[in-house]
Amino acid sequence: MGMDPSSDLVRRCADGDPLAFDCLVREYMNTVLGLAYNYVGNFHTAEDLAQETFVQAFQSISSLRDGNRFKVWLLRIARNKCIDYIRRNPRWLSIDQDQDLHKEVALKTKVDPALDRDDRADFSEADLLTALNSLRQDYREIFIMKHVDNLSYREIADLLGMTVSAVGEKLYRVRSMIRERLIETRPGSSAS
Amino acid sequence: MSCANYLPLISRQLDGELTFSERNEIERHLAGCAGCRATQDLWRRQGTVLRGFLGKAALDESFVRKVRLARESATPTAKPSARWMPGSVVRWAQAIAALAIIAFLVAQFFPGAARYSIATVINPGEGLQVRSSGASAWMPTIAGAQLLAGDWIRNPQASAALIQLRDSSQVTLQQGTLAEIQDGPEDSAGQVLLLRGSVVSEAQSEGRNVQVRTAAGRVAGGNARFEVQVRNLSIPRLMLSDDNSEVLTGSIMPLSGVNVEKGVVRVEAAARTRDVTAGAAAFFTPSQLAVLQDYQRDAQSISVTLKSDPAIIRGGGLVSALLATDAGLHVQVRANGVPLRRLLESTTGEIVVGGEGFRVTGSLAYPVYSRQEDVVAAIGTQLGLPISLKQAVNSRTASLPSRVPLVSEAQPSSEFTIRRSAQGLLSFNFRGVSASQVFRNLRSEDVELPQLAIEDEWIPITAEASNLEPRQVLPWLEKELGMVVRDANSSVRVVHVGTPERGTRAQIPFTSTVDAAPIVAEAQIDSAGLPHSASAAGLPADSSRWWTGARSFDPMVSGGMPNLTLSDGILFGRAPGLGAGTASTASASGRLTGAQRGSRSGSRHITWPVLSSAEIAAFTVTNTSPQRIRTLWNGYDNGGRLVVQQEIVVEANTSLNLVSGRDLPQISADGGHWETVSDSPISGTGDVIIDRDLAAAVESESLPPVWEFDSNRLGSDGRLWFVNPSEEMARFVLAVISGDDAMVSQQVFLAPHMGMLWSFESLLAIHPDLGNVIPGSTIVIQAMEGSIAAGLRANAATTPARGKKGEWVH
Repeated sequence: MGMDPSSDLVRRCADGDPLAFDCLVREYMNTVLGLAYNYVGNFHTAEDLAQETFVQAFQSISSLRDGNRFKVWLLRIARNKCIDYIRRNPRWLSIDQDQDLHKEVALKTKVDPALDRDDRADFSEADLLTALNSLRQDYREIFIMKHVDNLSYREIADLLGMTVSAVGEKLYRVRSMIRERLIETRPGSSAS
Repeated sequence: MSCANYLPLISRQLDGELTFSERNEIERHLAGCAGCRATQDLWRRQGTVLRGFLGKAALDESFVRKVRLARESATPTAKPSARWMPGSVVRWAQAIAALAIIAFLVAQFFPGAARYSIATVINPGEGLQVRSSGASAWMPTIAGAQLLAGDWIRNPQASAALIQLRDSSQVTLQQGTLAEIQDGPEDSAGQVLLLRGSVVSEAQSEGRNVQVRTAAGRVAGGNARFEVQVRNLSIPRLMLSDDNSEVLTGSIMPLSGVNVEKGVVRVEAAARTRDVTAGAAAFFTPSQLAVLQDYQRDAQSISVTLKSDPAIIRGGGLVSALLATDAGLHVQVRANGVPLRRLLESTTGEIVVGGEGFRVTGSLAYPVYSRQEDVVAAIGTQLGLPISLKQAVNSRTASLPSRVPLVSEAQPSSEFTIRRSAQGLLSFNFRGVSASQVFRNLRSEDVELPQLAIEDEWIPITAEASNLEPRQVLPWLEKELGMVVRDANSSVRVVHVGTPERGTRAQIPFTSTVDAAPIVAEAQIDSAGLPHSASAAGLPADSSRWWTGARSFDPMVSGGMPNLTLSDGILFGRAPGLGAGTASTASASGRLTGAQRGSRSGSRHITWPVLSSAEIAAFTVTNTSPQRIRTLWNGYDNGGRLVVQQEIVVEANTSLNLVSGRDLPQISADGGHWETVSDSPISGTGDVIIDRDLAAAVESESLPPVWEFDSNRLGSDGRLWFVNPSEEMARFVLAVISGDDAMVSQQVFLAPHMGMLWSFESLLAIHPDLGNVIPGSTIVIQAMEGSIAAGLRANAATTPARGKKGEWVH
């Protein structure tokens, strides 16, 4: 693995170069925003949390020993900020997890998804968001970490405390669930 | 191996997490399996679509600035904290715990020496937020949270929030409230510094245990229930000059009111102290205090002596003042030929929709506690116009960075000045003016701004800028204030000025309403586009009637037959007694080309020049939509004065032919014009009946910057016309181009709604060289500021010229 270009910025920042941190903000601001949006569901609050994330990161960047791990370290701060926010604002904990689990079980009982597929990729942004929002928060999180934050399985595993193989399995499961929901919402489909 | 076994591999393939052998295996399978390829495509698109969605809200450089400012304010030294050594975490935790214990003990025994709990959150509503003293961000709070001296609280949500002070007194924070929790005097259970919104205090103990401080004064009560509101009162002065420049100045005065429901409260303001008993109210500014026993009744005492003033087209202005009388505090406004829209903006601070063209003179006085709905309705009643407050949606929202410092002390009166130059450039100076007032004042200068986030409305702004075009103001605010604009719908209030009710007469000349039905009779119009065929059956044999018809004229009509079938275009009718000759004439008037008609999709604004007051002109408006459309016809003389206004309803799928002198008043001046304004697009064509030549109907909602005419068409009898159909000054350059050379050019200014009609001779008067127009050259009109409608009318049969943007002109 080559050196992460962020590591030099991290070192310069720890040495007191304020411009270096601006570069890090530019590099990762939308990554953090995407992660926060997944938790809070609106961009305004997500931006506030992103700002707090970077302020905290700046204050404690000297504690980061391995600059190559800045991204994961930063996202961990962001994730903790979001979790704190949700704990203080229970309104966001309204997802019916039982219902999600029920759907998940139903999905697993399908014999062969390939036999009854309707995989036309002609879904809208709204369709995808509806499908994504119907998932459990941790499923949405891993999906966003992969597609928006572009984290590797190893990075996701580090961040979420999972094994690499579990990350792959979970991502497969999330994609399948989203696909099922997209098919269910198509006109004329018989939603199960 | 079934497809189901390959799907996990496809998932990992998309993530780039396959081994070499796995990748070969899955690629072989995909090559032969359309189903799995479709799944792969769908999964790939899931990521693409999600990234596209989040990309819409992508942060930009302003976020980097916000973070920079936030971390600088959070750490004054602007340096990262020192590196700590392994194993020191425990020591840090021990140290923090020790400090917490010390802080607690200090707070208990030396209340004035440290921040300690003043209040407890009982019910946070939907989103009560707290910003701790010295912190940079707002955080949501929960029931049971302790509020310390120096903490800021705000309630941006619709539901009320409730906090409890140390002595069990309760304070309810309404929507939009922003306040600081303060320790207060010794005899108080706590103090709320109210900067925005309103609070209801339920004081439990005797004495003055609940204190509410505002920028205007202080309210204290024990064993009482009272509501305190604060808002800013704008006292503007507007000077409009004849050259279209203007100066808007004013002061923003903090206004507070207390309404006592139970007990007695004490008000300290304007260097006076008054006790206010249950059922009464007090209103106060830093310099004035009035106690009213029945303010709700007094709120109705709105005095309006305004009248419309069509004589004034430029200049004018208004002055306003806050007066303390026996009846309480009143705002008095004196207007002299000021546009109605500006008066309403000054009075309400809201965006005004409609009401263009009205200027008013007179006075207006209303209590400061009058409802805005009542004030605007009273103005409307006086002027014969329906004016009301409505809800609208602004699709963009602006927020200010949280680094803008909170004020810990009450704001004194603030002031502002906005200057608009004759060229429309804005210079402004705001000193401590709340962000909402800044937005309101800039909007009154036609600056388009997003809706300000409710929690940011109170933030005081000090800003100064010079010579900005209105469209440059928003980028300036984004850059200088770190303001961030994003797409997000928010509900806003607007003042809606309607058109007069049918049959009513406004104070400006207003003729009776014309009903479309008798004119169009049973005409059938093809609504798929502009009409290519039309039939009119059962038309009365009244020879004075005019009706719509077709370009390809059926001779049957020449006999005045009541039944006719027409095709291919629009006929403008016939004059009384002209008989068969009219038929061919009318046919000739079909010089409206198919290209012109077909290229137009309609407009909400149409300009029709009045080339000669001696001519009988016909105006045809066509509504191809399935809904009836109300149109307002504003008639301007050649000086830009609004001289007549008339409302006409065009039924669905109907073409309506209007004749000057019969359906519309004659505008008794060459060079005047009509402007038709409608809520939905209509299309229009014009004709001059007597001269059998084509006048113009320019769909002027969006005008091209360049107009070109063949100089040959001007001839000795031709006329060139220009109209500025907007509210802004227009400047254009007229040039005669031969080949690639400009033979002559002349700069011309046109005041709002002013028109010009130039003959060949008048061109010579403007510039002698304009007489040297070489045959075959081109007359070019290039708008430099604003926009103009233009046309060239020749008496000889002509073909339309084409505007640079493809619009047909005459």
